[in-house]
Order: sequence, then C-alpha cells, then structure tokens
Amino acid sequence: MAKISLGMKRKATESSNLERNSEAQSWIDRFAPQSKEKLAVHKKKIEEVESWFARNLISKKFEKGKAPILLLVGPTGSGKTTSLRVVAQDLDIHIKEWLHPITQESNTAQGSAWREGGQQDYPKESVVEHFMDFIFQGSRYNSLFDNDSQRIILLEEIPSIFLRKPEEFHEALRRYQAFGRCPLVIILCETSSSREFKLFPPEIKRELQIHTISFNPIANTLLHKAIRDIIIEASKVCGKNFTHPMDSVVESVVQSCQGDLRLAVNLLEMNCMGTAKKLANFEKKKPKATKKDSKAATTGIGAKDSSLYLFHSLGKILYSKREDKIIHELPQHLKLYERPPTKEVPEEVFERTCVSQDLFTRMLENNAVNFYGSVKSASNCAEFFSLGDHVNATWDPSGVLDSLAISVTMRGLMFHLEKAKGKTHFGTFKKPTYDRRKTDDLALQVRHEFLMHGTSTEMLVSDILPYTFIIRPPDLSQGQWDVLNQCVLVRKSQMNTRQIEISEKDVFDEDDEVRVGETDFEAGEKVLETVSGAAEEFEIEEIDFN
Amino acid sequence: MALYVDKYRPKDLEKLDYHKKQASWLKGLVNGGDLPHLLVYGPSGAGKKTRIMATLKELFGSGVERLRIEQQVFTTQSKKKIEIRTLSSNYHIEVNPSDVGIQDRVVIQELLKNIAQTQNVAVTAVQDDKERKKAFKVVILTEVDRLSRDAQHALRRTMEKYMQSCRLILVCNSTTKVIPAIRSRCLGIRVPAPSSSEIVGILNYIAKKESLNLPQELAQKIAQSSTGNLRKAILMLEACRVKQYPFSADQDVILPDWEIYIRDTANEIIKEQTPQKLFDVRQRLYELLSHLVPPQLIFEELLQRLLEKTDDSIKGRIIAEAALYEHRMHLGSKPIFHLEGFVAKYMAVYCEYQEEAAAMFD
Amino acid sequence: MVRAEKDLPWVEKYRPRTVDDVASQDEVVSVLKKCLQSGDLPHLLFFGPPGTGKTSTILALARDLYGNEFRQKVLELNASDERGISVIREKVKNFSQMTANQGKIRYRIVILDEADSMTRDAQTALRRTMEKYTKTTRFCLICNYVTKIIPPLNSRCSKFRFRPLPTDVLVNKLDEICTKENVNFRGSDDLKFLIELAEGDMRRAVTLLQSAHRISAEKITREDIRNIAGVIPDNVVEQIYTEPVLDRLTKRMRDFVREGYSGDQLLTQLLQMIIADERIEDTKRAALLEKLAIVEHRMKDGASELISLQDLAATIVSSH
Repeated sequence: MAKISLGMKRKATESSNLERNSEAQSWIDRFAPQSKEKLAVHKKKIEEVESWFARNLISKKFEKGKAPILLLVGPTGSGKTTSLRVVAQDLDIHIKEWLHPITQESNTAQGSAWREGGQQDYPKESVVEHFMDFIFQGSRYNSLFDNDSQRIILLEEIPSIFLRKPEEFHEALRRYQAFGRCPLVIILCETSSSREFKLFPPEIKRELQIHTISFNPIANTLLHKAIRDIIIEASKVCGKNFTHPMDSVVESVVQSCQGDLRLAVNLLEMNCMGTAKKLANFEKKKPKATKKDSKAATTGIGAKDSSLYLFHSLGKILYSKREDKIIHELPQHLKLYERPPTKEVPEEVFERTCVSQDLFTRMLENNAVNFYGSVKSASNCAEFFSLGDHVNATWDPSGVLDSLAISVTMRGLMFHLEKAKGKTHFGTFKKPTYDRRKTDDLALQVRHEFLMHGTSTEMLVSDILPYTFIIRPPDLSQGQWDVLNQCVLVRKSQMNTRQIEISEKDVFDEDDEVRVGETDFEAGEKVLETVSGAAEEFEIEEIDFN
Repeated sequence: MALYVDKYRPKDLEKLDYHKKQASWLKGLVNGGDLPHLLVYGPSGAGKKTRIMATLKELFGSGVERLRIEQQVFTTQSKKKIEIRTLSSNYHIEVNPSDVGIQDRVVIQELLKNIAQTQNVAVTAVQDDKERKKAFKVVILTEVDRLSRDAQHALRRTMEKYMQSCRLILVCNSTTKVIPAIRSRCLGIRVPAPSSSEIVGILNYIAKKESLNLPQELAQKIAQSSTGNLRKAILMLEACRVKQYPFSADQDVILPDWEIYIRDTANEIIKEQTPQKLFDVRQRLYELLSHLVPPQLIFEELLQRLLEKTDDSIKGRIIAEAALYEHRMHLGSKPIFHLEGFVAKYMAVYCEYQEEAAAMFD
Repeated sequence: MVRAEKDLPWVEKYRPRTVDDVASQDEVVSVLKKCLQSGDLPHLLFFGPPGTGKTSTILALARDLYGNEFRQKVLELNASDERGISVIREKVKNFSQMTANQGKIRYRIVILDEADSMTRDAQTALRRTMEKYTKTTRFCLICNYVTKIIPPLNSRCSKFRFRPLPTDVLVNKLDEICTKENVNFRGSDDLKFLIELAEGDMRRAVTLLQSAHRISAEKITREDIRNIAGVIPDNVVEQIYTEPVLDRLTKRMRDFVREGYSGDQLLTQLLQMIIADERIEDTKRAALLEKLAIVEHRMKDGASELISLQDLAATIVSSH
C-alpha cells in the first residue's frame, strides 16, 4: 500500500518551525514561502488556483462521476508545487500524494538494489497497478488523519510507462473521474511540450474537462524581490557563516537562472555559503564590470546552461569572425583558399555548448541559409552538411569519426561562408519545425488504416492515398479520412512554415530525444517563453560575437 | 472501399491481362501442389501482388481471399516489444518487415518460427477441405529490398530451416539490393510494367464494364501519365470520372498533389538561383518530407523535372551530383541535408553555366 | 522425410558422393586422396569461385573417411549463419567434446562455409579455437576470396585452389542430370548457353535448370532460362551501350528500371561488353569501368537505381 504523505499543512509547518534552524536543510526548504503574500508567483496565477478550489471543493460537492481534475504545467522552479501547497494550507485542504514505488522504498536495502539496477528493472506493470490502487483507494477512503478536512490527490510523478502508453493513462484518468471522490491535481513539470501533448491531448482535456493552469517562468522583478527577502532572512538565521552577496552577484544570479526560482535559490546559497569568497575576489579584480564581464561572471557561478548558450555558439560559427592578418600565405595558385585564422576554435565552441551533435548540426543547417552570400558559397556550405551527415553515419568501431563529423561540418561551413555584400543579417536564429518522429507516427497510422490496400508506405503515399482522396469512396472510416487529410495535400499544407525564433538564452531539453534514442530531436525541445520583464528584452546590438 | 483498382483486379491466373506466358508458367509451377521460394520483382504498379494472389488462389483455393488484419507482438532480446500488423488468411500471411526499422530481423525470425510451430494446426484445418492439403503456409514479405543486411542474412537462414513448414514469397522493386544468397535460393519472377497499349486496353475494359464512355485520347493520355504504373492508371481513370463525367478528350489527367508540388519546386529552382530561393525550396522539401513522400522519390522526381529544363551541356554534371548526394542520403540520417545540398549545387552549376553563356555571347 | 524426392534440390541430389566423383578438380583430388590413405588430414582451406565444387569435395571426402558415421563426425557451419564467434566457439567445443572417438579416424571435421564473410575479430578468435582443439578436430574453411582470410589462419591451413570447371565437364555433368530427370534441354549448344549464363557456376546452372524444368514441363527454351536467370536481352544492353544522345539514354534507363530488370545485372553484362569492345580508347574504357564500380557500390548501399543508372548513362554518352 502506498505511503501516503501526511498533509502538506503539517509538513510545511513542521519544516518551517521545528527544523528551521537545521543546517542540514537546504535553503529551498528552509526559506519556503509560508503565505500567499510571499509567493513569488504572479498573483493572477494564485487566484486562478484558489478560484478553482473554490469552485470545485469548497462551495459545492461535485456531481458523482465527475471528479474534477486540475493540471498545473510550467517549467522547473516556476512555483507550481509551492503555490499549490500554500494555497492548500490556506484553505485547510489535505493533500495526498502518490509517490513512485522506487522513491518510497529507496531507503530499504531492496530499494537501493533496485536503484543500482536502474529504474527500468522495476516491473512496469506493478508500477501501474500501484498507481491505480493508490489513486482509487486514496480518494475513496478517508485516511486516519484530518477526517474533517477537504482532500485532494496530488500527482507529481507520472509513471514513465504512461509516456509510452498514453492511452492507459487516459483510461486511468477516465476511471478516476468516474469513481474518484475528491479532486485530482496533476503537476507536470513542463520542459517539453510534447509530454503535455502526449499525456493530455486536447481531446482528453475536453472530454474530462481538465482545467489547465500554466505557470510561466518567474519574472525577474519578482525573482529579485524573493531573493532579497531570502537574503534578509538568511542573514538573520545563519549568522557568521553568511556572507552578504554583492549586488552584482544577485544580479547575475537572477540573470542566469531564467526564471527558475529553485535554481536561483540554490545558486544564491552556493554563493553565500563558503564559495562566496572566490566569487567576491573575482568581482574585485574587475571593479568596473562591463556588461560583457558580468556575463562572464554569470557563467562562472554555474548558470543553468553552464557555458555557452546555443544562441551564441551558433553566432560564433555562422559569423565565423577571422583575425585581421593572414598568417600562412599560400602560393599563388592556391590564393583562392587563403584565409586569416578564425577567432574561434569550432570544436571548443561546440563542446562548450553542451548540446548533442545532432541538435547542433540541425540548428546550424537551419540557420546557415541566412548567411550565404552567394549561391556558390551556399552550395559549398551545403556540401559540408551533407558530407558531415555521411561521416556521422559511417560505422566506425573506434569512434574516431563520431567527433570528426561535427568538425567536418563546422570547419567546412566556416571556410566557405561568404559575407553577403550589403546585406546585414537580422540576428535571430530559428529552430526547424520539421519533426521526424511526428512523420514516423503518421507513417504508422497510414499503414494501419490502409493495410488492406497495400503494405508499403511508399506505394500508399505515392498513388493510392492521393487518388482515394479525390475519388472519395463513401465507405471510408473516420480514421482513414484523418490520415488522408494529413498527408495528401502537400500544396495546401498546414505545416507551419513560420519558424520559431530562439532567443539568446534558450536552453533545449534533449531528454526526450535521449530516451527514445533517435537521431532526430525536435519534438523534445521547447523554446522557453521569453520571461516578462524589461531585463529580458532581447536586443541584437548587445550581443557580441567576438 | 471499392475502388476500380480492387474491383477489377483479376483473381485468377487465367484472367491476367498481360504477361500471359508468365501466368501459364505460374500455373505450371503450382500444378504439382508445391511451391519453391519465390522472389517477385518489378516496378511499382506492374501487378506483382495481383500475380501472387492469383497464384495462391490456384494453390489453395478461394480461401486465400478471406483476409483479416492481425496484430502480432514480438519481443526482442532486450525485452522490447515490437508490434506489427499483418494481413493474413488461413493459408498465408503478408507482412512488411521494414515497418519496424532496425528490428526487422527479429520480426522475420520470430514470425517464421511461430508459423513453423503452429503449422500442424493449419494442416489439419486444411485437410478437411477435401482435395487440397498442404503441409506449408505461405509467407509474403514485402519490400525485402529495404531490409537491413542483418535481416537478409537472418532470412536466408530461416529459409532453409523452415522450408518444411513454410514457403516464402519475397516482393521487391529491384533485386539489386537483395543479397545474392537469397536470390540464389529463390525462383525469380520478374514482373515488368505493362506497355502503354496494354494499359489502354485495361482502361477500356473497365470503362466498358462501368458503362463509361472513354475517349481514346484520354485513355492514351492516362496511360502516358501513369508511366507504366497500372494501379496509378486505374486510379487516374476513376479520379477523372469523379472530377468530370462525361469525359472529354482534352480533360486534364489528375496528378497526385506531391508530384505537382515537386514540379513547381523544380520550376522555382530554374526561375531563380539565390540563397533566399534556396531557403524557400528547403521549406518546400520539408513540406514534402512531412507529408511522407519518401526522400528517394523526391530526389528522383526532382531530378527528372530539372533535367527536362536543363541545358544539355551541364546535364551530365547535374546527374553526377545528384547520384553523389542521393547515395549519401542513403548512408546518412538526415535526408534534408542531402536534398538541400543537391539543390544548392544545382543552383551553383546553373548560375555558372548562365554566366559562361552570357560571356560567350558578349 | 516429408519432402518428396522430387522436391529435393538437384544441387543436393546430384552432389558427388565420393572424392572420385568430384568433377575435374584433379590436382586437389589427388592430394586429398593421399591424405585419405595416410589417414591424416591437415586443416584445409578451399578457395575459388562459387559453384566449383568446394563444398562438394569436402563432403565427399568426409563421406569417404567416415562412411556411415558421417553425420556424427562432421559439423557444418555457415560462418554467416550464427553470428558472432562465441556461438561458433560454443558449438565447436560441444562438438569436439562429444563421446570418445571410435573408429579408425580419431578426429572430427568442422566445415566453415563462407569463411570470408567472418569479421577479422571472429577470424582471430577462430585461430585460438583451432589451436585448442587441434588434437580432436580438423577445420575446413571454405571461401571465395582467399585474401579475405587473415594471414594467421591462412598459414595454418593447407590451401587448395579450385579452378572454374571446364565447359565440357559441365556439359557432361548437366547432360547426365538432364537424362536422369528427363529434362527436355539436351543439345550441347543449349547447355553451353546455360553454362555461359551461369558464368561457369555449377550450382547456379543446376538450380536454373531445375527451376526451368518446374515451370515449363514440356520443353525448355533458351528464353525460359534467360528469364529465370534474370538476364537482360543482349540487344537491350547493346542499345544502352551504343546510345549517343544523353536525353534518349536517360529515358532508356527509366524504361529499363520499369522493365524490372536488376541494375547490377546490367552492370555485369555491360562490363563484359566494355571489356570485349575493341574500338573504345583505353582511357575512356578506364573511365567507364571506374564508373561501373562506383555505380555498383552506390546501388549496393541502397542508392536509387534510377539516378545511379542515369549517372552511368552520362558517362557512357561521353565515352562515344
């Protein structure tokens, strides 16, 4: 039987009052907000959560068979869980949370054995069973505590098995709605839109009337305020161990965490305790910190993306700045190939970017086209993308070629890029919208729906489907129509040719990609919305590609 | 879904419209009640599948026409589950192993093993059906030319191992990509595309059956546009009927959307050779890919359209570049890079040619 | 046996039973006979083009050696069969350790067919296995290309080169089969035609003959044989080779693909034609041959047959 965590109310108060002085606790827990007023989340969002509770829990009992479901989505550290807990505490609502069996039992010897074996070893079926058990029992039988208070079920960890079989998850939700006796709140840490889309496709949201509240990254102004509050409180609590951080440090912490409050607090703690000295020295050395320097400082502290942002790396390669002087002169007949040395070592740039080779190549390819000065240069550059892909795919047991592929691409590109004359580049980078996995899914659908008419996708797509679409036989099923609508009309396509721009500090989540083990990535990434607040305003003039 | 293609598909070897000698061969082949492994190859829409089904009917009776869709699940060594849909009757099973990508080997091995194990049941079931008793089931594997090397070797092994309980019919467009070990173990049946006049004949036959008045000019035009793909020709006929009936002789033959799109793309490339245009073309290529048009088909079609409008003096170079990039595309993992590479190269070569031509003119 | 005698592949049915039956590999046979007499056998390495009797020879030899015990004493492995050396090692181990050896011959024989398709690593590992069981087991490696066998293995075996069989030997053998099977395809001209199609490969010739026999019960024509072999009519290849206009040739290539012919067959036949062509300049011939190699390589990698062949077309046109 699941371990049901005690009400958040208790946990929250206990952790704040009894253990507050415990050094072992991280700042995240120690300085967790205790009231609505202290939450750094935008007021509107909190009101939204509150009003949902008011509608579904406080004011009236919901109809039988219609247990309400709330979905909170947002990036890490945007205050989803905290808001929920604070609001619940406020309204005297009792939270029961489902924990993954691995999390629960990790304290026992058996648990650690599992962990060594990797999560996959835990029998998946039993996770699902466990999950279902909990979700129903938890909602139907009152626990021993807090008999009077209102209850909600909280689900923060969605078993990974459901990602692969979202239908099962949807079925579970349906059953919950039919039999559940109290509201269900699901928190989805949203780094990739694909997960939300998979688990909660619009039709499910509609069917089950799932209310969605999406949290944005915390605005810088609010972040500032929250951090200052914590500093004040921390200086009271910690005493001698505490070094008051300099303003520039606070500033850089705020800048580098991209609206992730948890990260910000962690960075702050790291800077204020122990490690602070080093940083202070660093700051002193350059008392008149220019904009560029403060940026360097930011990356020094351990920002979200430890080194270079994708945006900058792309710039470094695509602008491929060169020194002024030619060092190695070439003989006359090779003058054509003479170039001054590049300012950047491409391999270094790539390594500091910390993204996969695949993603980096695709981003380069997608954006290089804006940098081609002439068709000649375009064809030379495109040649190297093709060659790089070839090298990348060449099987080589020693693994030497793996690292070479990206070098081939980058160096070939940098060598052949010619500045477009009189054309200034507008300074944005875009991510490709084509999604290989989506196409693969579609291909599968096509074969499923039209299996009777042919077993090869090529044959179906090249003639059977286009003509079936025109002939419109009366007995096509809905599924078949769906497929036809999606893949026949190339000319009137609905594919979004407008590409999504990436901004300076966007970070890409490649998790999905790694898990699936495919070579194509896009589905896994989501561009973070630009955080509100003036500091995030993106201006191209500020970016220095040198 | 009763399209003309399905409605007028000949069901018996005697009723096949063309390659009649081959049909009589096939009849002789199954006359003894047995069947060797077959490798049936030929271009798309030439009638490979029709011939196979007619042969099977000759062998097993009309039971082979009662088809059902089944979902089969196989487990790899790493406990990964692979699902694949098959089309089967009591006597045969059809599957496209390349559906499952690199797991194709597992599918082939497991599928044949399953059939070998359950084969006894099939035999008794068939024996009740008085005269026809067969000790084997037929497995049709489509697109074998797209199987991985690994899977092909596995296939070759299983062919010998389960010869007792099943016969294989392998279907592909070209035998070049089938390993010799498999080729030498199968009886090759080449199914060439029907000629234009054969296609016209079939179109007329269908029109007559449907009591349609089909002008011969239109029939000719359809046969021309279908480029030897009979399935496409019949689909075109039906699409024309839906669009406009009674027919007129100068009616347009409807081409699939993707073909028109590629033709337009080729025109765009000819019209302008600039980086900006390259960007647009690239978007168009993405469009095609996301509509499932196979990259190889895009490449072939695009090249043919471009060649139509290219000066003879650079044609050789263009084809050579196309062959280079297309080959790389098969080795690499990102088709768009190679398609774009080729388009960029084409633009560069075309530009150079125009400059030279202009210089000569001066 | 469920399978009726008539369904037995002729290749198996007419495989030589004794070393003496082996067609026309006199050198090899005489050496092997000596081995038989002395009762000792080195490790063997048979190499030569396909269908020249390598497998037949070792099987016949083993039969001569063991008589009825043949099944227990011989292990036949296709190197490409069971992937990975570990499987081979395991099998060889189990096999070598089977019950104590009785009879006059102390050792067993392991036949590794298609040894050249083994990876280098597998071959290296095989060398160890060979050394380990050398007391009880003899290995016979069979391959097409001796250069693909690593030197350490190479040096441990006695090598036997199998020459392509002379046409008259093949004709006699095929004629014998035709008589026994009552095949109506007799004249030595017809048989020579068949052998030419099979490129001197006995197995291929016999297989073709059997397939043709199955299909046309009455009389086999050359046309039938051609069709089954997937051979392209000479005039088609000729037209391709002599076409002077690129546009027409690219179109011809399109039609060629639509005819369902296989691209590599065209390359094979073109190769013969180019080599036999006395009018062509050497430099152009070289260019053509190089292109043939490239095109074949690409097609084997999965490249589009149409585009590859059109690429070839451009080279052909420029060689006129």
